Amino acid sequence: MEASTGSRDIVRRAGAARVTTDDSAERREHWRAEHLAIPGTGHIHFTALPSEDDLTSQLARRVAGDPADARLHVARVNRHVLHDEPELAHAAIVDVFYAFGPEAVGLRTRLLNGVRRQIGSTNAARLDAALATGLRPASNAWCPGSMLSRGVTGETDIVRVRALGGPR
Amino acid sequence: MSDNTKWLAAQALATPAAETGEFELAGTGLYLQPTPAGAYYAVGSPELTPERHLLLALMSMPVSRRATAGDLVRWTGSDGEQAAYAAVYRAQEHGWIEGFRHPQGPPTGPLAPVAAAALLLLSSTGHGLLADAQGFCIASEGFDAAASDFLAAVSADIASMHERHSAYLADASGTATGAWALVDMAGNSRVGFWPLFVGDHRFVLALGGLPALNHPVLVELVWSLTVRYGGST
Repeated sequence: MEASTGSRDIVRRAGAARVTTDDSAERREHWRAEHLAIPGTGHIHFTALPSEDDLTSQLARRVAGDPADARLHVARVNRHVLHDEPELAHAAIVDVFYAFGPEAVGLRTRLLNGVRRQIGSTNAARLDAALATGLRPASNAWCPGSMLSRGVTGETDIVRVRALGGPR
Repeated sequence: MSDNTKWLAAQALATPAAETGEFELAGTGLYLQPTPAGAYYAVGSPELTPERHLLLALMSMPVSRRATAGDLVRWTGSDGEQAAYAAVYRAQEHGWIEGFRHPQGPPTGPLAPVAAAALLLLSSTGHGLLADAQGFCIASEGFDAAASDFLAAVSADIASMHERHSAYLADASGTATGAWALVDMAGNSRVGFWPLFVGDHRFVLALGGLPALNHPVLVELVWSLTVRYGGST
């Protein structure tokens, strides 16, 4: 895919440090444009609030506060890929799967492909299996750093409503 | 209320609950225990609802048990099986209870190291503290000794103030949360204080940075406190 970085770069913000400075930066930029952006969204800058929080915490809080905002999710995933933070990148992509459930398959596929190398094959396979359905907050193994998980790791079918006409 | 607990609360409210109708055990023979949200709810207020009764009962035992109908009646303080099942169903729908194929329990041994290990995981910055109602620091991680003593004393004051004003605060603020926080300009907590009501005892959990109250280790911490201080329900 021929990709340019301009209008697709939705995470860069003023003053954000670049992780690499050599030729690999350009390759990474192309790769990011292909996998870690939403085509057609134009420039979306994440504006840091006047907070003592670092950007990682701000993004996490804002994703928790507004889980349906795709831009925040993409910015958060980008942030952790750029800073080479595999555990946080995994938490960010897991939260995308929690937030949108079976919706936004295209976005989830694209972001998952973007973080696949970082999060490892086991985690990626688990999310691959959930591409069609998404994740439910109470349906998965604990993922450190996830804001949207309920931390439920067991089974939740304990009492049922008796079916109409069922045995009494 | 922290960001992730706001999400949990919103999810819980969005969950349709069958308030009427007949219930039955799913029959899977699971060993029951609270989820992190359930542990949070269980000790978040001294008001004893059937769901809170159930969650505290589950954590009064050192090891989780398979539930029979009779157990559920007793654990929920209900007057019959259907009322007990309804309480369990509500807890289940709120995401407060889960079951495992094998028995689970809190870590054994002295409370201080158990609490310290939990505190480390409950804060994004590894800053946490557990204090009792008298301002005694039970465990601390990330804060130096002087800061721990100071925050423990402040925790006791905050819990006492909350207790005096909680009824009016709930009306005035429109929220029943018991948590207090020191916030920055953006409203993000720098240090949060969560009163925990365990039996006749009151503790305060203080966390720096971004709290992770959805972490399963919260269950271990609350369960450890309830086994020791909760009494039998």
